[in-house]
Amino acid sequence: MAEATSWVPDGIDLDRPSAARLYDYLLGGAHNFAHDRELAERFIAAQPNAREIARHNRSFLRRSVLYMVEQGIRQFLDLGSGIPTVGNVHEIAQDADPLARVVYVDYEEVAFAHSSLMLADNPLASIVQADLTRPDDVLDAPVTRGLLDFDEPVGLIMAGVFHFVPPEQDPARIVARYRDAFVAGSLLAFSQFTRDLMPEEMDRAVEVMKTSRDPMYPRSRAEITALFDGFDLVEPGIVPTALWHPETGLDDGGDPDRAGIFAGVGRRR
Amino acid sequence: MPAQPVADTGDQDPLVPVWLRVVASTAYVPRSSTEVRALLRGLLGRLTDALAAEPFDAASGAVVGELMVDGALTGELTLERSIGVLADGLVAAGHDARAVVRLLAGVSAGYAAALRKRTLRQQENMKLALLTAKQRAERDRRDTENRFRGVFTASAIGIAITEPDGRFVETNPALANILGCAADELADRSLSDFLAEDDAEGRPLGPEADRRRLRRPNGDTAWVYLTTTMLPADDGRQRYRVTMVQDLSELQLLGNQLSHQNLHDALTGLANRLHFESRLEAMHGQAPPGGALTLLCLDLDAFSLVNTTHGHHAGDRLLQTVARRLSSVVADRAALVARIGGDEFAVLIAHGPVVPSVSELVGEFNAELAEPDYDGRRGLAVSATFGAVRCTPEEMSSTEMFRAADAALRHARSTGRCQWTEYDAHADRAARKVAAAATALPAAWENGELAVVYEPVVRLADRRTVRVRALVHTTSTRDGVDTATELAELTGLAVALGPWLVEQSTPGLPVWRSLFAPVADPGEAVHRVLLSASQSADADLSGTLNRAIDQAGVPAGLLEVGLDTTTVLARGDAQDNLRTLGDIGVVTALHGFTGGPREIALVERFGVRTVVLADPFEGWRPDWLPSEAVPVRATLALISELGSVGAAVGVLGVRDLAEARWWADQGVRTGEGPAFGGPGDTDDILARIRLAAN
Ligand SMILES: C[S@@+](CC[C@H](N)C(=O)[O-])C[C@H]1O[C@@H](n2cnc3c(N)ncnc32)[C@H](O)[C@@H]1O
Repeated sequence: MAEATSWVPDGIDLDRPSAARLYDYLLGGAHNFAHDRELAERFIAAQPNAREIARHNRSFLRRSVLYMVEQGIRQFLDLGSGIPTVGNVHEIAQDADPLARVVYVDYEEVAFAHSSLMLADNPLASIVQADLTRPDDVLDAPVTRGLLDFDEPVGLIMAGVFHFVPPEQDPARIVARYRDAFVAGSLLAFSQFTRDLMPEEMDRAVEVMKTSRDPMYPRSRAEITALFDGFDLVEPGIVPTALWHPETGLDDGGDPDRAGIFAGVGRRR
Repeated sequence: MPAQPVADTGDQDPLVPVWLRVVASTAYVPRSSTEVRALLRGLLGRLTDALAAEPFDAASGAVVGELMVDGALTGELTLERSIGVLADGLVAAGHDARAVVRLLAGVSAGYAAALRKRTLRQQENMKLALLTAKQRAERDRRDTENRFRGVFTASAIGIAITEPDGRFVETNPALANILGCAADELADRSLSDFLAEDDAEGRPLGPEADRRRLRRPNGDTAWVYLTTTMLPADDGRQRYRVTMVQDLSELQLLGNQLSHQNLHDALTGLANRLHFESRLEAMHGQAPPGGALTLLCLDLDAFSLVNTTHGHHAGDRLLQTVARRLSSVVADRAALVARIGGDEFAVLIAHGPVVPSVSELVGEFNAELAEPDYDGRRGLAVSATFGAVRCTPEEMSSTEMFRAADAALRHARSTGRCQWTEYDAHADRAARKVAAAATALPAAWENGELAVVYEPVVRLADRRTVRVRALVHTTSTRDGVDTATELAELTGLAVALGPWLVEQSTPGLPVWRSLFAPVADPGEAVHRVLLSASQSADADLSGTLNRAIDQAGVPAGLLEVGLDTTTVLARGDAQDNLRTLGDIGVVTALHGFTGGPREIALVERFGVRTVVLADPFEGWRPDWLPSEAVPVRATLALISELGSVGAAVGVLGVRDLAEARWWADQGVRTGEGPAFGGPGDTDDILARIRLAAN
């Protein structure tokens, strides 16, 4: 509580914890404030598996990016990219091909400020501060236009973020708008919270997040599958994060159904 | 830096897979399982080496702890569980239990210290990131405020921000003007202080939009239209009121000379505009089918000159004389004469069987007006410009007639003095389109219907695009591409449009740089903006540019800014701008350049880098002109003159490749125009360039 806050921009409301900072805390980062940590602790009380869930989601992100690279994708649009912790998309992709290009998108100030700082010297990766539910803002941003070649397939990443998009916003329309902006052969990596796996814990977590600036909306497997309209799902379809192309040898021995999040990758038709 | 495995002790240490399992279930390690396994094997090697060393090497423990943090083995439970499996495993492997405990205590300590360091570093980073964000937010807020300030002070509508009780908190210059007061006289007063005593039976000012009459300190009265909105404070309570005050009196439009005359035109005794409109409607309705009506609108030439040189008194007298004479010309006809504006009159004639031509009628009026009017000391004569419309009631409604006559008058005035024009539907449509577009611009601006488009700037020598010029495009009218700024100049919007164009287009600078820097000549800009007359003299220009460049985070020299030559010649503030642009490091340019000696002197004095020629051949194709034609020779001399003072020459509106080649042969550096595809949005341009590259 006693953090010195005079250097915090007016736009950042310390009293309203954000999902970006909570997620950072769950992954062991220090880019968070007392209120975020307090929320995180309540989240963990509601969903004791929260740290594992975050870890699994982050691993899925990494494996899906590696998969996309293998499929020949060299440019990425990462929507709701979060605060750069370990294993960011540009690090994974540029490790495989130094010329890979990445556009990050997040609307949260700490995520934006921090990513800007980290990417200042990286000419091939950049962040746009925008609301991903307004696809035109994202797609028309000069950074997006400059870094992505719209005539080539793109790796579209929506990891751990669509559970923040309420049904009123018509998530299907949003995904479709991004889909239509890119050429056939583009890949979509998607993950989000579901009630299908751990309903009681999920309900409690939704309750906890109501007080944050990012309330949550879990979706069923069927609802998530419907979002892949216009995409062909890659094997094995929509599965708990831990089961999507798991890496042999890193199995933690846990129950994959406790991964809390469904994930899948699809190829644009 | 991931840890380098030290000696790879006996490859299949059974502890490695056990430890790996602990790590995988507690930490997110952004690496493949092979990499993680190698890391653990290396760490384990260090530990066993330390235990085997003589004497026992306790310090290695701390190093292993640090390397665990470096390798992101930092889940909430990773350390605890790792120590657990390591203790069991190492003791089971036969190492001395006390040494194992001491070594692992070292691991914990090293781990804790490294973790603390990492946390501090992350928070330090966050602080830095947020500070940057804070500065950005503050700059944005200042910009918004400046923009608002600009609108507030430049608005022609009076704006008052008041306390709920009506006392002024802030007023703009237009309001002071409407109230006939100096701005500082308004402190602590309120709008109700200005209500005329006979206004609306003393009804107090309410929240509804209302038409009211004000009295100025000098005794004049003015009709105004008031609209009020509440301004909530941060806590959501209504804190301030904003009142917009529109001056309804047309006299205001004509400037202060005429402001003492009221709407009812007591001065000439003629019908005023409102009265005239209703009479026109009546006469129009009563005219027999097929009966011709002629409506003339006229205004006096150089009337403001009479006012300023001989005084308002003489002006008033002259208006009375004109009124009398106009009436006398139509005295024996079914006609109506009215004064419809400061020095504007209208004459409506319902014709009998004999209909004189419009030119005969105008001749009669002009002859009468030309007669000097003696007031005992001097004789004053005036001339007038006429707009006429003649039709039958079936052909046009009365409102259309009035509008048509007015349009004809404006058309006549735009072509010169002492003239008349009969309404011409075609000319009117063109003029109407411009006027409509001009008045629609501010709305388009507010609705976000203005967009930035880019025109390729091509190096004529090899016809490669080396730059783009940003210009304003209105999305509502497709044909408005090049004219938006000209229109804005008409409505006074241009000053605001300039910064807007700069702000909107400069974020694209890095994109253009990556595209053009490899092909452009060293030191050349990749992005061009040409500013209109009022933009060129904008006092805040350098501020706008500084901010934009700052924000784009690129060297200033990538941006080329062209000022309007005529404005720079005429105005000191525009010259200041030109100088400051050079200081900032922006590539300076002058456009609309015609090449007089004073213009060339400007280029030399300010070290202008680019000169964009105004169309020197007035629309003729230069490649079809004989090479000895005087304009051609003069232009070639100008180009070489500019070369000698170090300026690159550019041309606009290049029609096709033949013309491009001609300019290239004359030593002109760059060209824009239809020959190179004309303007397009960022995507268009990128696509064209990609196409050209393939
Ligand atoms: C849980 S994090 C996920 C980070 C990363 N994609 C991953 O999977 O590891 C979700 C992020 O999405 C961002 N976010 C949520 N709604 C958003 C929106 N409408 N527009 C942009 N970003 C959004 C949050 O600020 C947060 O940083």
